[in-house]
Amino acid sequence: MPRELFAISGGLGLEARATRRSSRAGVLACPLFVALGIACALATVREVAADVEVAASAQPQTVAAGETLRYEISVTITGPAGLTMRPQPTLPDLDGFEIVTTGTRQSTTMDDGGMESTRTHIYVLRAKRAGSFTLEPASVRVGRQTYETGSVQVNVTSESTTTQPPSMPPATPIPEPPPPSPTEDEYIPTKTIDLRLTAEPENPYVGQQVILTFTFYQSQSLYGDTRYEPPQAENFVTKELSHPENVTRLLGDSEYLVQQRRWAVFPTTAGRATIEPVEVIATMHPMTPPQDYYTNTLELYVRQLPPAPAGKQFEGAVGKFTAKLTADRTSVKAGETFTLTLIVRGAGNLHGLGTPTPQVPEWVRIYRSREDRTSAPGYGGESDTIGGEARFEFLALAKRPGTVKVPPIEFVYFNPDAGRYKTTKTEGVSIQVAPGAAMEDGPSEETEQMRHIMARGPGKPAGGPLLVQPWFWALQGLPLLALATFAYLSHRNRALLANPELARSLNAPRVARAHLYEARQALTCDDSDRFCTAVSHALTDFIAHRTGLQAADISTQEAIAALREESIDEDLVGRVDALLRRCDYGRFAGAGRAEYDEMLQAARRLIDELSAKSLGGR
Amino acid sequence: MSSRLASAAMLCGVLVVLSAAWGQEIQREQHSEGVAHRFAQANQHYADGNYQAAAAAYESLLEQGYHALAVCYNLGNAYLQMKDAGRAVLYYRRALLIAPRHRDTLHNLRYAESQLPYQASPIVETWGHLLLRWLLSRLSINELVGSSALLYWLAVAAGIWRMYNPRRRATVALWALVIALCISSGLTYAKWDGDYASGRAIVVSDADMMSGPGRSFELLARLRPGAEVSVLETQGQYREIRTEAGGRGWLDKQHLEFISPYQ
Repeated sequence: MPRELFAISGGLGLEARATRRSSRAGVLACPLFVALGIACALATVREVAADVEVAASAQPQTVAAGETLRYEISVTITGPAGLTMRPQPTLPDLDGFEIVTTGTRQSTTMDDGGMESTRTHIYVLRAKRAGSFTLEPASVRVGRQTYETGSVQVNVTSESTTTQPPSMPPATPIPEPPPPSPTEDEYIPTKTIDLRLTAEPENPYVGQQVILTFTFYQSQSLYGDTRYEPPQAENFVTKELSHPENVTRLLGDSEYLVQQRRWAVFPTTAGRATIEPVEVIATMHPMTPPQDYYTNTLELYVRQLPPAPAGKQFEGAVGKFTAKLTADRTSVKAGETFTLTLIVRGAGNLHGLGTPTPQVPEWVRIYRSREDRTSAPGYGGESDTIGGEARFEFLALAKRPGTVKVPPIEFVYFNPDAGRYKTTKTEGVSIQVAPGAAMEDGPSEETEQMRHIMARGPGKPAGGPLLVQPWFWALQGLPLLALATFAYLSHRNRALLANPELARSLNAPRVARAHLYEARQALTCDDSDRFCTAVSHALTDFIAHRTGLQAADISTQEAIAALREESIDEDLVGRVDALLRRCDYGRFAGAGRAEYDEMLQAARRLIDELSAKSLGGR
Repeated sequence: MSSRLASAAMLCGVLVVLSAAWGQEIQREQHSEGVAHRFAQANQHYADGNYQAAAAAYESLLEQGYHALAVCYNLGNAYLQMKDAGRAVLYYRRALLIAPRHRDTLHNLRYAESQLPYQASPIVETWGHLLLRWLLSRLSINELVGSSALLYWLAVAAGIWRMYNPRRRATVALWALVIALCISSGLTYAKWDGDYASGRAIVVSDADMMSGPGRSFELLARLRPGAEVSVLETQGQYREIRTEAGGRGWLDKQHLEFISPYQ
């Protein structure tokens, strides 16, 4: 049974404020509930202001001097706030009367429209002298508002209007009929607040309806909201029943307000079942904290159902049921569908009912298409009986012409009152199937037999879907890496095209390497002139490209001057100068192979050293 | 001298790595032979009519990670022979995750479904849904993922091509590949969501669908083996499910098996 919190406001009425616990949705909806709560509180305040009625009356309105009359001020408050309010009237000037005794009476009514509490303050007055008196309006304070009753006219005659002696006081301040006395076997509460939990029957069968009754006795008004938790019943399916009206009863020596809550529970498993006590949290006095009160624990012995009759299919129905089978059509064409509807009605565990199957020929395919179960208290006019209707619809498709004869369905149920199984039988249904477009000869050959197992076994363990393999995702990073690389290169190329000087500067080592390669080629051909020119160009072109000079026109002197302008150290400049001069001389005076190799190596070193320097601001 | 030592060390290292790889390969082959042997034993149990032993042997292979078509298919057959059509449907569905167009599995699945206590309700769908369902039922997740990955690589290549050759032809190719990639990815997601991520499960034994996570809640319906449901949430021993007809309720875990073995 779901644990829910209910509130018993002021100990006099129940308020249907239920909150599902342990629900994630509930947690999420908390702020909403808080907002709703604030709204409700505001609404309640408005209700107090708007839905309070006060009235005053006198009965009888004509009395003789010395006789008594009853003066009543009633305050009616609509809404739950009325349960906690204690309106206090201020009496008008009662000149000519004296108060003999006072009392109060409170009644609460609940219906679909809400809750209404009426508190009546009763004053028994004795008329002291004859005359016509007008009792001025009494004022009543409810919350922060003050309300006024109407005025009441009372005539006091000088002679007695009854045979009763005028000095006789009233028998009781609240002239109400005495509350009903307890019956012989009724529980007599012994405490101010007494709780009781009962079950009927106590030895049910599995699936049989049991009525749990929680009774709350109170002989004293309570303060604030009184809460209780419904009984915890594992292995029971629970439905709440309608609540009986609150009554005031004389039980033992005290008058008790008796409230009851009831549930229909259906045991789902056999054996001993414990229903945990109902807990009530109530405040006896405004200055004391709320206290917990518990009912008794219930022990039920759930009986196993006897074995189902041989050859009958029992679907778990316990109660009293009737069944009916109908078809929506009496004739169809092959390939067309028709609907078979099985309706099970009755009182019992309709919720636990299995789905009976109509038997159809093999050449008719049948599908379960719909299932509705409606059950509620009040079946058959009995407020405590859970019952209703289970409707099962089957879509059927005939594959060839013929007559579909659906035999009567035997519906077996267990009747707990009789203690044995009973069978209710539907009527059979017959449907004529005419030849149709989607006609088939019979069941497919394919589905008649299953195919054999595979002989070849698994090679290696399956790695599962690619999506869960880490290597797969790592591999998918490669195209992105390539795309990023190419995008960078593309961007760099565009930047170089836009800045020719930068392009020349970046290109300088490649140009120098090309000249040195040419020099090496010239060396293999013993072409000293070409060798020296190539080495010289390698150096001068490198310097020209890096310093932004025109490479075609640069001479040795200009190259040296350019290096000096760039503040290159004199040692390096001197070595560049020396190599360039050796190249100039080499064009005219040949040298040995070793010297050319040494010049080539020197050129390479110088270009490397110059590459490391910052030339032309780059 | 030192270079000779370094060369010798390198050679030793290579030899060690090669011998380790060889040893692992031998071990794998032996393990594979063991698996093949156990599979053959399970088949023998099946041929002898000892379907329970066969099912146990196939299940032990599954537990070791051999989610292969042959194991799932044969296990489905074993359960079908034991008249447990619900579990048979489950393992045929698992086999179809691996090989969606395997004829024998499709055939036996239809056969198993015809043996279920109740047939699945016919679902009225639009042509679009039917086409999508048909397409997804014929492609495995790895086929879809592979085609999406291929399209992705091609789209990246087309993007690089267009970067250096910004002509109309390159742009059209790029867009065509991007659109194809989107469609392929959408299908992959639908397949993944439908078969793996959405918690599709099969009811394998008679199960009571309760209104809450416990036996004390109201019994909503009784589900029969073979019914396909979606698992929405798990609370302790109970799972919240949605049936194909849209009904929601809670089922004891023991009655449910996820179709995907990876959940």
